[in-house]
Amino acid sequence: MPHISDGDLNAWLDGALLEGSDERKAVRLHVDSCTDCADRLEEARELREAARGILASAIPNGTAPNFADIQQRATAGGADSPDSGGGRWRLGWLSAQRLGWAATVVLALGAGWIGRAVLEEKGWTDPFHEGQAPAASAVEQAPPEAGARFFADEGSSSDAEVGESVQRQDRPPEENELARKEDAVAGAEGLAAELKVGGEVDREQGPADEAAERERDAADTPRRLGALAQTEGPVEERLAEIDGIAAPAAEPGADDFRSKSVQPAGDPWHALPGERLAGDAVQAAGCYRLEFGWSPGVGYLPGTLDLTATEADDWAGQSVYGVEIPGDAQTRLHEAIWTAPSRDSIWIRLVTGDDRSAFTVRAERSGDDWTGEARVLTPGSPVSRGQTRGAVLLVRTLCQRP
Amino acid sequence: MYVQEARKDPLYARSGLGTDWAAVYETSYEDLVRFLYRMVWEEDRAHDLAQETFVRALRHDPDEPRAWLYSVARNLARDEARSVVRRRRHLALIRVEESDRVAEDAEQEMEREERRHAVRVALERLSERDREVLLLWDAGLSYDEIAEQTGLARGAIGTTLSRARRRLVQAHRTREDHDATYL
Repeated sequence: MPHISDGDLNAWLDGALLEGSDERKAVRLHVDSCTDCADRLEEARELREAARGILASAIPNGTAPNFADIQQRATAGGADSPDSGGGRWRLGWLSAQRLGWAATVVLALGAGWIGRAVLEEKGWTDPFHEGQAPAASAVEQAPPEAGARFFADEGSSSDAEVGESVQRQDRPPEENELARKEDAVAGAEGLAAELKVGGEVDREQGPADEAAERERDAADTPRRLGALAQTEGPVEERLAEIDGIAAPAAEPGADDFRSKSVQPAGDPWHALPGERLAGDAVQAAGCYRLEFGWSPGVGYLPGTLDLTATEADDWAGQSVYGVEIPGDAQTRLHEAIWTAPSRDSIWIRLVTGDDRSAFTVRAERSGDDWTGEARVLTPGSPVSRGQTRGAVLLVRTLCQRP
Repeated sequence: MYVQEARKDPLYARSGLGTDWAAVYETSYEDLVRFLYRMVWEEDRAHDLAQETFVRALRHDPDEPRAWLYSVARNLARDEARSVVRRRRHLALIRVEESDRVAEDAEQEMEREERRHAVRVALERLSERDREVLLLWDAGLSYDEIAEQTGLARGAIGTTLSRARRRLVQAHRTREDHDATYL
């Protein structure tokens, strides 16, 4: 009798041969009498278990949401007949294009980055969400209802288009491509409205964020008081130490300001580029959504980053321009400048007012947008390491200046 | 002859009373997320796609729940993988689990990520067809279902799985050896 094929051996191992069938009996009988096949069966069994084990080491985190939530989402969008056609197919989350992400480019996170590291022991300082990694702070700033409302918003518009996933398989590739392009156009056309939606979300974050912060502080009070009782010295300094917050640096003079910007200590990556364009630089001026991929997740800057064509006061004559950030973030910045080493590259640096952490972006042109890298330089960690570096994306958007 | 599944559980064809979607959800959500995760390699995205798949399933109420779920999920994941320009998402979609993740021990997280990366690299060494069959098998689909999903002959599933398992294990071991060399 010929030997058993690898396919049948694996089917046997997987229980895919019908119990009591001739094939199953034949495999059993042959394996019992053929040492070669018995060895191959054993090897196949080992490979099967090894493959199972390997795959088991790539299990995603997270738990299933309540089924009721899924049901709610399914019913929220109204009627959606499987037979209905005509509309464009679109993923629910792809309708985030309507929130201004139509032209969003990828944050090319290195594979080793994604979810890999968490905050450094001391934590890096984000100019927008100090003391927090972007992902965490983004979560903190996003009230639960924002997510719910987000889904509700997208449900109302995209659910009517949802039923076409199966139909899409049968579409010619060129038709799918056309649909994609139409989606992009639709996203761009809705930009103004999208920004308004984004603004509403941002405005609603304030109270929720503050409440959450108060709650955390209250929960942490016993620990802080206990630690305070065991230390001596000025209360503010002791609290700062307990909370792991670096004491504010002394207000620098103009010379300090400039020297730091020209060549921050430790990491020359943050140094002002030697080549700087003057008139051409303003071509990149405009408003952008700033998004950055950071270990362990994705961060964002609420609102827009406005690269103005106005030379920054402290940098007169050096082809360095000002950056405006609406809202509270601007007031917390000590320095906000940008420049252009070339037509196709820009360089942005934001320095926090608290501890002079520098957040530097170097980006290259990608159509109307810019992609590149961002790094953070903190006084406690004067070299940008893995946890303080990430991919950055600047998506050009509409300016809504007052 | 291959096993013809006894289609009594809710994952298979619905009865005259309709599909018990709550049961389907409970029994298959994790498998679906795992399957999607190994195609898109982003946890949040895998969860989103799985939820989107179920939302659609509830609206369509297909006759064969599991086949439909995986068919839609594969399409969503393929669209994702094909996107040359990938999109990051709005803040509201950054999940609360991120904050949980931040709180985890850094070293453990790093090790886990390294393991995941090794699996990803090993899987990428497989052909698309072999990888798909392997992941569908790992998600718990029967040979019949895998054949239905992939268009392969049922009799070819065992052979494909045999090859895919061997290559996965070899690729993974090669990487481990490589890492050990440079440690």
